[in-house]
Amino acid sequence: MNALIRSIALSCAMALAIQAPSATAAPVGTEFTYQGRLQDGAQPAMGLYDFEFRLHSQLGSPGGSVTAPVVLDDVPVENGVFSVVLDFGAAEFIGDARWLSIAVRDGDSVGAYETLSPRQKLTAAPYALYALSGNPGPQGPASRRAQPVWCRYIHSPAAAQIRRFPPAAAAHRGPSLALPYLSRSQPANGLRALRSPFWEPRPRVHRWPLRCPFRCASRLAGRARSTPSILATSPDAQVSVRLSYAAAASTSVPGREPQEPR
Amino acid sequence: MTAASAGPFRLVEDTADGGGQHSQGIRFAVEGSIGQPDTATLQGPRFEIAGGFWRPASTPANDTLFHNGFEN
Repeated sequence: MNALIRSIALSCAMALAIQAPSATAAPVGTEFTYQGRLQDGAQPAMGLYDFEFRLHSQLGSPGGSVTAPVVLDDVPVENGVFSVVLDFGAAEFIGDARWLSIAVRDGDSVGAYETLSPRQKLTAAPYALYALSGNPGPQGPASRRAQPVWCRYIHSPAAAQIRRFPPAAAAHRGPSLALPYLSRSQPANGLRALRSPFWEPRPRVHRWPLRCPFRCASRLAGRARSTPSILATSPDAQVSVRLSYAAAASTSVPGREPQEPR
Repeated sequence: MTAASAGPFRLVEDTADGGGQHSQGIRFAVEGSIGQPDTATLQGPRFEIAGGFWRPASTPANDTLFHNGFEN
């Protein structure tokens, strides 16, 4: 085997429902509601009030706000009851505990807010715990127009091995797998060695474009197999694996974690 | 949803959401629920349905659906 050829370890632990959503379907978004009953002194609040909601990483005062506050002016409060929609985005909801702080002032005021305490902890709705445990969700129906699953792998001297390929990938009628290969330095060496065939009956290699001084893509296409396989490529290669129809492959990369696709 | 009961006790108002509690300031106080999926208000020419767990401090006298402003 060419001395320049190194192996990479492939890893992917992500499975997606592969039925592409309807083109007209709107995403759920990252909003959630807060409904409550506000007391203004001894009476239920009535009228317009300004609210400031903040997301914190700690219950106590040392925990600063982890995102920009959500400021809602002139929220109608009727007999104490109000409902608002909050959107802090999804970046801070990564499994760590979060608390919500609420500050209030009169709707016609431009002065300081009165911050209420304690902060209110965000807890999981019971069945959302299933999502928190990392369950991938049910397999959707197969579709040739499925959203691809992309995983990017960094060169590693370790042996490249796709240890497991979900049976669904192989069992699905006509599964295919494309593997674009990008390399700035040695495009010609991309995907030279293919031990223990990953595809069957025989991988076909497509290089595109033909001239690629800075970046080149090679593509292997074929049928996915459910057996372990080994793939080798040139040094410093970045390889993306696209699973066209199904789901996921997983393996281990010593000392390296799989990275999100760019 | 069925109201839970045992002996003399009966739980008539409850909600399972994404958190929430009572928070107090000097002048203001709030008690609320995070992440309820049903807080929207539907309004027509004659009727209005206010969704969600929390109801006004005093039950509207004209509540035509729920005799106590909250039913489960």
